Amino acid sequence: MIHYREWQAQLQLLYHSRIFHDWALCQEVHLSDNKNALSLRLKPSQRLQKNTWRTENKSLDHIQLYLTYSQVYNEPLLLLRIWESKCINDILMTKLMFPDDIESLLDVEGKFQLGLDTITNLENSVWYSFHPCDTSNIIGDQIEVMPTYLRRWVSIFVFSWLGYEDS
Amino acid sequence: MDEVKRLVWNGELNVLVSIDPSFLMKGSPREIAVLRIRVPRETYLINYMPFIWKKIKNFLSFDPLNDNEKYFWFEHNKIPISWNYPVGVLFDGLLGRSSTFATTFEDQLKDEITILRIRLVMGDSPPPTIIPITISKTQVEKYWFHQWKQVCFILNGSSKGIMSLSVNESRKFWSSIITRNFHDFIEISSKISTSRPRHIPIIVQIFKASGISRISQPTIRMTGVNPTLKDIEEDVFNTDEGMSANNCIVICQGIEIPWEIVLCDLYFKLRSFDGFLYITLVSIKNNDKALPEL
Repeated sequence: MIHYREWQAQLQLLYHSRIFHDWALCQEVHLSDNKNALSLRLKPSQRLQKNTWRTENKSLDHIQLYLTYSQVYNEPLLLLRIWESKCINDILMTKLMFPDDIESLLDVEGKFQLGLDTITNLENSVWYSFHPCDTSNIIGDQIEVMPTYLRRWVSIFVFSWLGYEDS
Repeated sequence: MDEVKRLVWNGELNVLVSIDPSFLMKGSPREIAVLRIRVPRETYLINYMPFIWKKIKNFLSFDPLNDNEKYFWFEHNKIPISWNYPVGVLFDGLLGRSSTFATTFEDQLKDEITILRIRLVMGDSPPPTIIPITISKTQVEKYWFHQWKQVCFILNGSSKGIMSLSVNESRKFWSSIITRNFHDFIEISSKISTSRPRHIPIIVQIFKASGISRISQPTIRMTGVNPTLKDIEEDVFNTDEGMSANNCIVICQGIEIPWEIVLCDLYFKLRSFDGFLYITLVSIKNNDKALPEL
């Protein structure tokens, strides 16, 4: 677990490290005004685009990630939404996509558990959340490695399945 | 305490489900578009989807279970309803939204025909606050189990209680909701609970006099001796809302609750089948009740 204040400090360090700005998939990155969440707009990786076409017969437009904090688990919390591009009456539109098996689509089966939830502090909007209850076991929270807790969390919860290449 | 829990468990509502005509073939009998069901307060609406599909399947104009371009949800007076809250909580919320609350909640109920009227509708995209209903048979069970994981963590500071349930116990737990087996539900839910919780799992829906509503999940730490609802007032309201215990009534499980009630007692007696205590706070428009504290 990570205390809220520590997490908030590490989130700002992470943002200013420009690791997301330099990520090839990242189209936009934004630190919220109260500095307690990071939102990212990503272009889909080739593998994810292929998976989506194969399993859903759909074309992805972009992926939205929201890195926030779970007051229940005292852990970082990753929220995700997937947007498909769709042509309706000759007009190209984007719309939220809810695949039948999200874990299989993202190729994270057995690694992470995801579920749809309404997020109260995001106006009750619907997001996939990566269930955070096992986070400490996955990341390791021994006192000597706590300063890099969030950096390691991002490496596992974000980059491990989306891939990281510099832009 | 078990008697109160049993009353809560056995609480039921009359639900009238009307089916949007877009689901049905033209010329379908009118009566097929209206279903009257008696539904426990302590369940999810979508546990009734298989029943609803079965009732209307011979008149459907398309195959809803194999059409991945269509989404379904429930509405009440054109307001989308979230299936992921207990049916009783939805009812209390809708009543809270519609009533004037010039009189007490019980007096209001006397004059209301207590039917929850909902409509099954569809569209190309679900409303932004509605979790899409999927064809997966385990969708609702997974969601509910995840709620209990959170509850276990909030109460005990770890998920050990729920994660150490055997596969059979986990199945029996969910089955108790579907088959309405009170004994099994109490037996397994008590393995997850503790008599001395660290925090109280609570979800609050607030209806302001302006008609605006919001839902929050505050962190309620159990400090002091037997804190009451009044003691957690600051955790429940935003300071800028202009709402307080003096101008709001508390509804839980369809009952008006005094602010002086001990929170822990309230939790263990009236918590819902997903482990959370849901309270509905409604502004009193007529300030007869809102006497300042002396």
